[in-house]
Amino acid sequence: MKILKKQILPILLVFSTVLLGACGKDDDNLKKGTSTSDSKTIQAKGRYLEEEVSLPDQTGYIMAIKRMENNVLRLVTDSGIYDSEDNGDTWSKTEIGAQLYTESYSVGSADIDSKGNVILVVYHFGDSMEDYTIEYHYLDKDGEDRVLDIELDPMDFGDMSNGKEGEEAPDSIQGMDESEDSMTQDGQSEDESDMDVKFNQNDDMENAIQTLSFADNGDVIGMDYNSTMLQIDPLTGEIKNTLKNDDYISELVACGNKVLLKGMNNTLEVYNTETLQLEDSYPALSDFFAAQNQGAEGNMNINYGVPSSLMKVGLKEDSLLYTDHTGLYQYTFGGTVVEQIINGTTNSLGNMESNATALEQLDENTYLAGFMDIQGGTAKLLKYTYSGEADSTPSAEINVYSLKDDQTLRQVISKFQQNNPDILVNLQIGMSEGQTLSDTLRTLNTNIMSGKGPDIIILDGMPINNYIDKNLLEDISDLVDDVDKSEGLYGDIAKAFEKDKKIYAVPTRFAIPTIVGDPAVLDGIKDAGTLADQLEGYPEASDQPLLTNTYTAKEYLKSTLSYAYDILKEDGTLDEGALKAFLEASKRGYKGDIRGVNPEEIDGMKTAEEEKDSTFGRVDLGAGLMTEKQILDMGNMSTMESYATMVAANKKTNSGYQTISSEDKQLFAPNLMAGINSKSKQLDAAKDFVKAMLTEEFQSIRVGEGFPVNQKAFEAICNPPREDYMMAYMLSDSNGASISLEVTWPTDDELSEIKELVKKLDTPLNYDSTIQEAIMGEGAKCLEGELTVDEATANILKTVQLYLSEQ
Amino acid sequence: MSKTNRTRKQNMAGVYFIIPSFLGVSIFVLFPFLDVVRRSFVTAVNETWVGLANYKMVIENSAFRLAAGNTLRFVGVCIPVLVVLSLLTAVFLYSSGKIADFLKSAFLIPMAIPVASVVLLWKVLFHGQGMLNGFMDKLGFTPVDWMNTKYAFWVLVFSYIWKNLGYDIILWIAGLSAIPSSIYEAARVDGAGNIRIFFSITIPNLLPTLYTITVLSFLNSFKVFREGYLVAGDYPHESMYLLQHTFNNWFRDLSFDKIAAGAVLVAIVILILVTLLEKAWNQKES
Amino acid sequence: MGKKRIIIYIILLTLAFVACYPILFLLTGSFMSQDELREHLSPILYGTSQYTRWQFIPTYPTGKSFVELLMDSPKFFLTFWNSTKITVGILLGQLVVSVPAAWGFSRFKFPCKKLIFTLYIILMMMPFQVTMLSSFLVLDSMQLVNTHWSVILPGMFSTFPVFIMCNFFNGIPEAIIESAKIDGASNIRIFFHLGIPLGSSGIISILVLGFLENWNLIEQPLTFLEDKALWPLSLFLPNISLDNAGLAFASSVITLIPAVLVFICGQNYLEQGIMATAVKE
Repeated sequence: MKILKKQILPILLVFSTVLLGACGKDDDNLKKGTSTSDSKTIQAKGRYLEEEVSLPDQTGYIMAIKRMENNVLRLVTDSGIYDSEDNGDTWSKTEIGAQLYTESYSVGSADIDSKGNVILVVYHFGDSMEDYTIEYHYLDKDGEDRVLDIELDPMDFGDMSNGKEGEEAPDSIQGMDESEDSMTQDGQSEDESDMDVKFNQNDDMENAIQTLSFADNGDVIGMDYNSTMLQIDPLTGEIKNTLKNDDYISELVACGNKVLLKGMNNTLEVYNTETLQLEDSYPALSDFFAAQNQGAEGNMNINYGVPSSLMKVGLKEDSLLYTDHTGLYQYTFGGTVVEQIINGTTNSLGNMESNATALEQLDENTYLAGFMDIQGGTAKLLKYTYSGEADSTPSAEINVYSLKDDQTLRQVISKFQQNNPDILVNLQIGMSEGQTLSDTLRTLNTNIMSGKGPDIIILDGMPINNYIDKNLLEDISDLVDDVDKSEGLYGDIAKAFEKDKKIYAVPTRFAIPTIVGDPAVLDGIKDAGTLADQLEGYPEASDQPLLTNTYTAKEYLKSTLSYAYDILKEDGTLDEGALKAFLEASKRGYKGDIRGVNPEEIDGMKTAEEEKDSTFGRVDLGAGLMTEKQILDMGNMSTMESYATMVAANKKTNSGYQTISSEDKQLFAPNLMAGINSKSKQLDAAKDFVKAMLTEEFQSIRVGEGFPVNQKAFEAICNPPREDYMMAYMLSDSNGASISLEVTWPTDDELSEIKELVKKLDTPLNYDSTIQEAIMGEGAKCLEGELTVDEATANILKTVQLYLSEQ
Repeated sequence: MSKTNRTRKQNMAGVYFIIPSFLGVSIFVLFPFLDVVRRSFVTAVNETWVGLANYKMVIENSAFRLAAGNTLRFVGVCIPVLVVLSLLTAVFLYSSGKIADFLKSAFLIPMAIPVASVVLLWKVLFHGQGMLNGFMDKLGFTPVDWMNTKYAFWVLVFSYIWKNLGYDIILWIAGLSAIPSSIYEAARVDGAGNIRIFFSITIPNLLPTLYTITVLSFLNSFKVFREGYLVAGDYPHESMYLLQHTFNNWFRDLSFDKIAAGAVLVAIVILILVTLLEKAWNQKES
Repeated sequence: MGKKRIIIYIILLTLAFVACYPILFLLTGSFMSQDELREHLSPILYGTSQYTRWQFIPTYPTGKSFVELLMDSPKFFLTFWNSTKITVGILLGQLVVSVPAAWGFSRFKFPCKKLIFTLYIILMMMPFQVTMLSSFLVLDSMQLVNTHWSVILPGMFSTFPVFIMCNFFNGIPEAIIESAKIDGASNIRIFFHLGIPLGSSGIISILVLGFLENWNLIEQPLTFLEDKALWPLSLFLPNISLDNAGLAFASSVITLIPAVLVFICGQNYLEQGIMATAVKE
């Protein structure tokens, strides 16, 4: 035993350490693959000029671009097929396929081969929009139109609605399944949104092919609704081979003799059209995709749950092009690196308001790409031409720090970079998985104190007043005043954090806490107590919470927290009486709220709540009331679209709405608050940035959440994002019957209403995160009966006192 | 060379042995500490001179006072308990042979367990709906929300003792084995009983050990913050709120001025304690 | 007499069981399947009703967590390697720096020795939060932040091993040294040929103690290492939610193993080392 101890064990120890350590060393490559994309890709060195190319007709969607053998470029859009003989500068409509652009047809997707043959997926309408069949047309270069008869397997629903074998369904579908009254908001064109919605509802739906594209050998590659890849002979319509996939395929591209199948869960399969077999994967490419989909870059590439990347074959048949919001990349099969050709941060590639829908490399130095505005509407054709090596040193480099990723912020940065190509803007996201807020703040503080802190800080979730007290933030009163004088800001909102007549932090967006419901019921609600009265007193209980989405105590508190406003006193301490009253009222209210709900369902919701990402505002405010199982809805209204939705829903349910006020103060929730680090070494550039954030051009960005604080911008967003704005929402009630809601843009009167409302907002609702956590943590226990109101109050006060006594 | 010269030369040689350590310590440990002392006299972010204002702020700060009180209370409770408990166990084990070896190992193992793993267990055990309460519920006792009431303090004490018991037991055993058995024999011959022997012989001879144990236990008591923090976060129950919580939170709030002043105060207290201990020990020596 | 002894034994055995329970707990948890973990832990994590239950032996033991950890998480190996790097770096540094220093304090008299030694003790006691910022600034000025050196260097110069070794060296009888000096040995020879061999158990004990301490460092890497790829094992999974509970247990067990192995190997030396610190003459 002694010998064992003394000799063998140490050897074992050393051996296992070395072994594990060696594994660690080998996996350095893997490590790189899971960190930022920069480590694996080669950065773009060249500078590309972007210019817009005009098209003869109004185009909604560009489907395919191809340089044909005769060097003529061909384009397929939703309004026709066009050719260009001058390398894409001017286009003229062809006769080919004219019959498919008449009333009874709508082209869904298309591809062009090098000879000029076009393959299309077409909707052929009967008497109405709902009555259609899907046809596959092969237009040869002479214009002859042949309909292909392709025999498909029937729909396989088992996999579709529940996700394959435990894998997650893509967000757009999952959104439907989550709960009975959740909805998807679809940014794509109408037909597609109807399609997505329909196939979950309609059990006898037919299988069809979503997209078709040409492979090098003339075969056509398509994917059906079962996520099966099909290899089809376009002359006969006969299916030569199929390939079933384990993952949801988000993108499929034919590249030379290969077909790449990129899955939602970061899988990549490469199929060879000649051997009819799968090839070994290409690790450099898989790593690249994994990196692009992860972390901060990944967020940028998901718009409304749909990935916004595109792939296409390049000049040579073994060259693959890939584009997303970080830029355009090229990979040669068999190679070890993916090279960035065009950096997306300084041009429209980085614009998150539009996605690339078609791409073609014209020659060594030129690319042509079609983009579609994700809000629907117009498409653009942009040409990128190489113009020499880029200067490597920007005139200034500024760092923007935000705890959480934010779409609006990213779009602001992208736009700012486009306007100021000589300033490099880096976005740093503070919070990462597994780290607490305190840890993140401590790391930020050490960076600030050592002079390496960010230049601009987005103060959402941070102790703003503390930072102001410690002189951490620069005085930005002058730039706020400038914008106010030239364009007009909502004064009370912009000056929310004014101290001693100076402004150190400015909210650049805001939301309006709102409550929606039957006007008679709303009349009686002024605070947490009267809310509780209404919930308790409501005659019928339903099997869902009366206040939408408040299954758990935490959710209830979160939704009604605006009513807790009077708990916070001027000096930052808590008003004990008000706190107690709030908890008592909430306890009653919650009880009344869920009296009809099955407790097991509540338990189930608790696990879900931990994993959900909280959003700032609600896009579907008021819509849940359509199921008639809920009587009230409370949340932050944060975009014009959500206002439009609420107005439409209210019309349908005869509901009204109220903004939340406390005594005579009209509350608003400030968002995306910007401040400048007083220790910044780039004060001028930082000031330019924050000022830009407040100007109309940036304030009218519709990506993300939050109303603009700039009055001119508010006017601008009162205009619909596209003509004939129409969104369709569908929910199913508990019986499975579907309810639909058509949302059109608010009328002028309704727009005036909200404009007036916004003018009255004067008091910011800004809870210190420590205090908020204490209230919600102990409060939830109180609401669930674990603690009495007195105990919870005492605990909250103690924690807050401790926190305050540290100051 | 004269004897004094040689001695002096010899003694100076000691300096060479110390130099690498001293240099490193100066740069990486002492110098930062001096910076802390400097910060105790300036404001947090802009670093303008404010004299003793920070000290005043800290002494008047109720969170600091609470934390200091708790820390003193913790040390005041833990160290005696640990010392006595480990001493009794050591005495018992000293003469017990094989089983004693096994028990010694068992008691020492807690030292080897990584903190993160310990925290996992504490969470599961002491949570309001954790194992301990489940157990108590079965037995018919009313469960206690351990981490959120004044019992939190005792959870921390338990964690500390659990971790350090083995260490101190070994120390005591070492001390015990240094006492020549002849003294015991002599005492027995004189007719002294076990308890008498214990108090008149054993304990006085263990005083040197006591010094070491006290210093080391004191040192280890600061380390218990880590477990406390991982289990209960920034704002635990106030009975568990220690000086390190205060410093940690001040750091998050950019209050470097307060941290600095607080640190200097703590250093002074430690200095006094250590000096007193050493004096007491040295006295016993002679 | 016998009965009393037995009762005390029983008490002690119970205490010993309590002392070792955590290992059992971790082992059990690491072999549980996701569902079992969910069942057991949801009251704590999500506040659903009832109390947590735990069993000694999982109903359906599965090695899935370990497989997932060792096969599917390349990050794990990396963090393991980081931990090894940091710990070994610190320990080697401590040997090179602290052992001679302790020798110097122990065997020589020089001006300010008492002062410096007391200083060492005070510095040893300071909690990390106090010097966090200042250390960061110092390390930053040397451009060491975000490299492993930022953790290794301060760790290597910790004054704790000096304190321990010093006590240890004090136990070496003066006579032996004297006779060596009379034989004309230089200071360095004495150190290498006498000091180190005689102090070897002390050295091993500071190695063991040092390993246990540094294998578990949390605050330093958290503060000085921004790049996640540099993080050690102790930071691998600080928060447990349901989907990583299995991983948390498995990784705890794996983190545990080297520490326990080191401990078992070194236990005897550790004991001797601890004993020597207690005995002064």
